[in-house]
This record gives sequence, C-alpha cells and structure tokens, in this order.
Amino acid sequence: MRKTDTTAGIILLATTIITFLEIRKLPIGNLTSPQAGFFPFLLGVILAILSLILLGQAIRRREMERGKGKRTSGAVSLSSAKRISLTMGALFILGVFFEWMGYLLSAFLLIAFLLVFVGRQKWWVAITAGFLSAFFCYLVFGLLLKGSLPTGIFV
Amino acid sequence: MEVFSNIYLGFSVLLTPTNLFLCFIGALLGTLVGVLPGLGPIAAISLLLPSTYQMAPVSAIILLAGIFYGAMYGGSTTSILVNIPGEAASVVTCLDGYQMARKGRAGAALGISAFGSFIAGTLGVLILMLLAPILGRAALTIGPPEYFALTFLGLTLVTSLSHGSFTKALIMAVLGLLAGCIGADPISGFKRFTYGSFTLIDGVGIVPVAMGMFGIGEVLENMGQTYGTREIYETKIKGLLPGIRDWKDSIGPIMRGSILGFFIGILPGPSVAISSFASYAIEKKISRYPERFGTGAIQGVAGPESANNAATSGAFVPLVSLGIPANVTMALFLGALMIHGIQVGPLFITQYPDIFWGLITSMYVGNVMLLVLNLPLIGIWVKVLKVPYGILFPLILLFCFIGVYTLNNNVIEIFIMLIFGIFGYVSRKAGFEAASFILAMVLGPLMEKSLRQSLLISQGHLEIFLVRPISCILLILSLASIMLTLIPTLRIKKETLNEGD
Repeated sequence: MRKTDTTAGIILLATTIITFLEIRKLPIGNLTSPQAGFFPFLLGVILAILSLILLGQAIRRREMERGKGKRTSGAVSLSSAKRISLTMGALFILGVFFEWMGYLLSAFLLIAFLLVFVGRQKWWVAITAGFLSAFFCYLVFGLLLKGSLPTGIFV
Repeated sequence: MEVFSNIYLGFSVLLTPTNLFLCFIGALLGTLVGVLPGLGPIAAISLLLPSTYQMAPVSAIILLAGIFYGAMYGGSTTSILVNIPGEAASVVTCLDGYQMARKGRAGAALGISAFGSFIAGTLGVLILMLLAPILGRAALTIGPPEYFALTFLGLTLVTSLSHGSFTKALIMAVLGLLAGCIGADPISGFKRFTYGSFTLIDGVGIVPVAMGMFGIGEVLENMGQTYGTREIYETKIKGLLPGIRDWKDSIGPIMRGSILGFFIGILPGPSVAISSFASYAIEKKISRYPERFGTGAIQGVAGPESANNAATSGAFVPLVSLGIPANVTMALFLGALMIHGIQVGPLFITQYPDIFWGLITSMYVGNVMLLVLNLPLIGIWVKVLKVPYGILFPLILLFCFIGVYTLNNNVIEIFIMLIFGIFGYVSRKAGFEAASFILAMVLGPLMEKSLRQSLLISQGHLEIFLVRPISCILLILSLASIMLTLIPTLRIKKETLNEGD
C-alpha cells in the first residue's frame, strides 16, 4: 500500500498542476467578487496540500517499515489483471463500433466474448446466452422502454 | 386534515396500474439486488436511471425507491443463509442471523427480519410524511451561508465516517468537487475544464460517473476475486412466522431500531449501514444477556434489520425538504429528478405534491409487497444465490453499456463511464472511497453557488458564516466531526512512535 500511496500522491500532484494550468485561463476574482476560477483555485490549493500530506505519510511509512523489515505485497494477481484488461479492452472497442454495429449485434458479441474469454464458459453456453441477451435487450430497450438505440447494420 | 387530503392525493397517484406495477417491479428488483452480493442498490439504481427517462417523474421515483428499500430486505437473506452480507447495511445481521440458521432457526430469523423491516419501514414512512413538510417550510428561511454550511457538513461527515484513511477520503471529496466544476460556470457561463468538447459543456453527468464507479468498478473489483461456489446453509427453512416468544424478544429492538434508524438516516453519509451497527450496539448494551449476542440472539437480527429499513425513509428527509442528498443513493435520486426537469429544494413538496405524496404512499404499499414477496419467495432467492458470478457480470456490463447510451444517444458518455469505471476500480484498490467522490460531485455546484453568493452578500467578509446561528452551528458540527476523526488517529501515531523508541 505504501508504494501505491506514493504513486497516488505523485499522480495527484500532477493533477493539481494540470488544474492550475486550466485555471490560468479563467478569471479568479477575489473574496468580494469571486469569479469562475475562484472555487477551482481553492480546490486546487487544498488538493496540493492533501497530496503532499499523502506523500509524506507514504515516505514516513516506508522508513518505519524499513526499520521493522516489513514489505507490502502486490495488490492485483496476474490472472485478475488479464481478466480486467480483456473486459475493459472489449468494452472500449465496442464503444468505438457500437453505433455502426447496432445494439443487438453489440449485445450478442459482448456477452459471448466475456463468457468465453473471461467467464471461461463453454462456447455453446456463451452463444446461447449471447442470443438470449440480444433478445432481452430488444424486449426491454426496444419494445418496452422504446429507447432510440442504433440498429446499425440491421437497418 | 391537510395530511389526510395529501395522503388521498398520494394514493390517487399511486393506484394506477402503471405505478402499482412499477412499485412491485422496484420492490422485486430491489430484493434481487439485495440478495446478490456484488450488485448493490447504488449500482442497480445507476443501471436503471437511463431507463426511467421515458417514464413520468413520479413513476421513475416510485421504481427507484422500491429498489432502495427492497435491497434492505434482500440483503438480510444472504446474511442469514450464506453469512455473506448482500449489502453493507446487512453486515451486522450475519453475526446472529447465520448463527440462528446454524441452529435450525433460519425461518425465525428470516421471518422476524421481514416483519421487523415492515414495521420499521411503515413507521419510517409515517415520520417522513409528518416531518418533511415541516422541514421544507423551515428551509425557506435559510439562505446561501446555511446552504454552504450544510453541504460542508455533509461532506465532512461522509469523509469522517468513511473506511480507511481520512486523508484519502478528503482527497476523493476534493476530486469530486473538481469534477462538479467541469462544464459551463452557472453564474458567468465560462467554460471550465471542457477541452473544447460539446459534451462536457453540460458537465460530467452523474449517471455515467455513477454507473462507471459503482457498476463497472464493482464488477472489475469482483473479477479480482476467484469465483468460488458459495456455501449456502442447506436446511429446510420452516417456521417463517415468528412465535410468541420471538415477538416478545423482538418487539423492543424493532421499535427502538425504527426510531434510531430513521433519525440516523437523516444524517449525511453511509447512514443506512451506520444505523444497523448502532442498533446492534445498543441492543447488546441494554440486554440482560449480552453474552448471547453473536451466538444467535434474535434481538441481534430484529434491531439492525429494522434500523436499516427505517433509515431508508430517513434518508429522504434532507432530499425532499432541502434538496440536499444525504448519501450516494439520494444523489442518484436527485439525478433522476433532474433528468426529468424537476427542481429539488425547499419548494419541492409544495410545487410537486403529486411526486412527494405518490412517493410516500408507494413506500407504504411497497413495504406491504415486500413482506408478501419475501416470505414465500425465499426458496427462489436461495436458487438465485447459486447463479455463478461468472454468468452475471457480463449482463451487468451490458446493462451499463446500453443504459448510459439511452440517456442522450451519445457515445462519448459511454467512454466517460468506462474511464470512471477504471478510476473507480483503481481508487478502490488504492484505498480511496468512491462514495465521497460521488457525493462531492453532486453537492459541488450547490456548494460553490452558495459560497459565491454568501461572499457577494457579505462583500467578502467570511464572518457571515459565523454570525448567522444555523450556519455557525453547522460549521462547528463539521469541525467536531473532523476532530473526532483526527484525534484517535493522532493518538495511534503517537503510540506507534513511542513503540519505535
């Protein structure tokens, strides 16, 4: 957790810098007449202070652990990381092609892919579930809720 | 007399086939969500929010409210039968509920949980019905400094009561406030943090963020655990109707839990979960046989389950009377009302009496439906528990995906959801809580507007927050909650340093 906190502290400081770079484009005003950049500026300052506190806590914990000979363990296993990467990768790619493919084909492909490659289910289970999911989406979003979803290549 | 005519209005709104059906569906879905570990009411409400866009506002609120209080009923089932809490509010029920099941008294535990929840839910609705309009009228007398102090108190309570590091909870709150700044400034119209995107001019919507952090984020976190089969206590569940002895032992905890739960529910933060812990602690403290707690004491089930149900009613009080969400679920309700163009604030009850009284009556009828559903359908819920998570999670992701698109037919919002899904997962792994972020994001615009208005009124003098009594009291309470969190932490650090020496 100590290494994670150090990384988090650095990322947060970088976020603070980006925030201040954006705030430069806004009028800040003053206490009498606060403008659009006033509140974000205040938050940026508080975030910078908190990030430094977090970094300081992480460094102090490292020194204490060094003294006691403790080590922190990793947070995510390789198999979990693989499952998560596959899932997020599938979702992002689907996002790119969603309107072109349409919601029915997207539902089928997403369910089938995730069941086979992440859920480790059998192919026939995945394909059946994919079809059922697409049908269920049509019932719920198409007929019942009458949502205007892209039909894609099925137009 | 006005109350009776309002109740009549409420029932006339509720007793239509559509609204009754949605009340039933909400209660059923809520119970299902409560039964399934890994899918909480926040994720479920986030998933269904876009679907409610096509509905009338009162119908949408009736459905979503059903999910909220239904999940409290469902959460107790897994606590008692599987020793896994379906919801954070049902953690305490595991302590005695599962022990009762092991002694062959699962039926009594499930029965008293259902009846206790019904009584508490009914009492909670009654108090809400009486208290909210009074608070709504009182709220008309408060101004920007009080609103700022209230939102500040809300955020400090949420961060003080969060698990883990206080620094990290504060960081998430500040990040949430910054996220709330994205978009056009409501006062001057300046675009902030939009990077030229038309989508971001309206800000980052609560729906994509909530679905990302609580829907996708939770699925990713559950993926990090192995999909073992759950050990469900396989016993013939009999005797669901509590006996006279059970009622005698439980009626006191039920009544105490109901009152306690309702008033804790009003407080900002994870009040529903806190109410169940508080009730358990009190029942154990005042019991003549405290050693029985943890071994299958029915009081350890009756009190907490009643408290968490009453807290769901209490949580509505700040939202409907002040327009301030006390927790993440209420923030989603606020989002649902805003999607329908409803302005929530002190005038909500007088401007939209059909929505408020329709909600009140639906909560009463919903509690009756839940009592009827939960007792005979326990066998079905047990079967549902056996569905492997490896089958469920793709469906959850699909619903998130399509659901967020139906909001505005905007693919960018899908990517916003996915980015916040990763953010939600990574922040959880690093020990940062999502609840502080979401609540801050929702409260941020109100907080900023109140702060700027207060400074304009006072011409830059910060004393305005201290000279007004309500604002001053609220800020002192905020400071007290921060000190109460920091003092034990500092003491532990001092002891650790002394050990090192």
